[in-house]
Amino acid sequence: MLSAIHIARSFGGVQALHDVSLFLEPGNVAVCAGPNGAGKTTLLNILSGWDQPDQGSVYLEGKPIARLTPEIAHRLRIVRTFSTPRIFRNLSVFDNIYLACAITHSERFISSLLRRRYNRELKEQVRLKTTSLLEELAIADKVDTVAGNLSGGQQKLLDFACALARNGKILLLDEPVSGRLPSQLRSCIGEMIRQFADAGNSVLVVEHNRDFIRSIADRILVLASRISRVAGETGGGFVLGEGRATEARTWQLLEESYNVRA
Amino acid sequence: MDYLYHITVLICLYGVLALGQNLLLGIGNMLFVAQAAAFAIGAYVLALSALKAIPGYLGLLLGSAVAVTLLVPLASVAIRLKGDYLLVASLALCEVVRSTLNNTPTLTGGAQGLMAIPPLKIFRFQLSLPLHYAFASILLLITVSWIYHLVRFSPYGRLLQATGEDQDAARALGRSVRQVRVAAVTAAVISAALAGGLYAPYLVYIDPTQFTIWESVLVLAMVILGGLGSIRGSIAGVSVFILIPEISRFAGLPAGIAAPLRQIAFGFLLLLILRVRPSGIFGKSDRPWLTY
Repeated sequence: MLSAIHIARSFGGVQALHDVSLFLEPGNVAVCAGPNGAGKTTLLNILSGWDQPDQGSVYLEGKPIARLTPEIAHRLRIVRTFSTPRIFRNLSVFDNIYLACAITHSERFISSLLRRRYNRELKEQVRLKTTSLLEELAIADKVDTVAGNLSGGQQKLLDFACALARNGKILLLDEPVSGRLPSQLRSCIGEMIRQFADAGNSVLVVEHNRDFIRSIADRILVLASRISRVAGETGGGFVLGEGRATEARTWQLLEESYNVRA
Repeated sequence: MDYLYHITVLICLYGVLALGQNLLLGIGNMLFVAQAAAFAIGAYVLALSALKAIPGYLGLLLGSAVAVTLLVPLASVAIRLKGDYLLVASLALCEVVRSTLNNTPTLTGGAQGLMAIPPLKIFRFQLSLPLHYAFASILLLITVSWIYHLVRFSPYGRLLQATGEDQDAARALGRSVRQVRVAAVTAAVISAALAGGLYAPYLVYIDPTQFTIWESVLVLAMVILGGLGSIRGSIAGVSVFILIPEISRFAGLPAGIAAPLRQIAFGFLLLLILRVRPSGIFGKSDRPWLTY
């Protein structure tokens, strides 16, 4: 589905990504792992149009996307979340999810005056959807709370709920279970990600938590930050290896990525 | 009695301006402060069309249409600016309108203004007494408040608020921030132009000094004093700013003392409000941000 080939990106003198390639397949959950500074988030930024690669390009269904921006990513149904939740803090939880549903035809100025009944019905529909979504994440009682008043963990859950509500085809999650979350919720998020993938969508998760990776990953891409073996090259974003989550070698690579030092 | 009607007209018309400003700043978080420009264009177009014996309803429509065609294209460029820069650009817009009115004597009468504007006649109703204007402006204020209320809790209002909070996030959700903002500016411009259309025939005489930058700033101060995002607040803010000078009129002070005293009173009041209720008179309480 979504792929990135020979991606390189540098910020000033620091090379954040060296020649990284990645393929996401429908029905699969891929995990991108590695220590801090390995370029995981930079890769996610490039895949979702928030950043442009210096070299290489992003492909959707085999076709290159000339210049991916967040708007185009939205149109191509690529949805991403950030490691710090990016929600509208002054709006209620319900409003956040309503906006994420992207029912744009009801959002004209005139329709707020002329199509009030229709908007009300629409709101009831979204309400049902929202409630069932929030119930799974155990924050259903917060529907009408202002999002800024939620706790950090709850904001994270809301961000995740918004990402699911956006009806995307490709989901890019930046540390969906970081921070303090009860372990039940962790497995619940894992299950929801799995369900989403099983519907024929593809998922890329950036994560540190090894238990979580083990529970959801089909394939793991391991990035490392510095490799002394490559003469003269430092920075981040080297692909250390890539493999199935069921293979022991992949996990060895992941161990190794945390031990690589300049 | 006419004096009371006069106060009512002022409160209602400035209330309409304040609600437009409140839509932009209170919901959309846009510091676009050009209500005086739309107010002036509405007033002048109506006055000119009334002097040419064009029917009143057409004059009001024409005023809104001219204000929209002149201001919205400029605004749609200006709203790409953020924060203070947008404020400066919008104030410049006010000044451009004022100085154009001041310097085109063949059309607008220049600094002398337009005199003997005939009373507004909408279909069979001729507005000739202050009472009529009071009634018409109350009607306008109620309509605009109602629209403001509907918009605030509609999907559009939700999106406008979202774009005000995080433009990039709204863009990443596939929304056109510019389109949303232009719609809000258009609504504010139309309401201000209609208010201007009532103002000109009520005063019978208008000149460019009534539509300076300070009118825009005054409207902004009214909105902030009343509380962002609140209908009651805007009307309360307007009432305070209109009534205080009137109180000092009854105190029987000589004009040389009353005028500076008024300024001091305004300054003191603003400081007091900022100290006691930083979010305005009806700021927090009227702002539950719940849907509908």
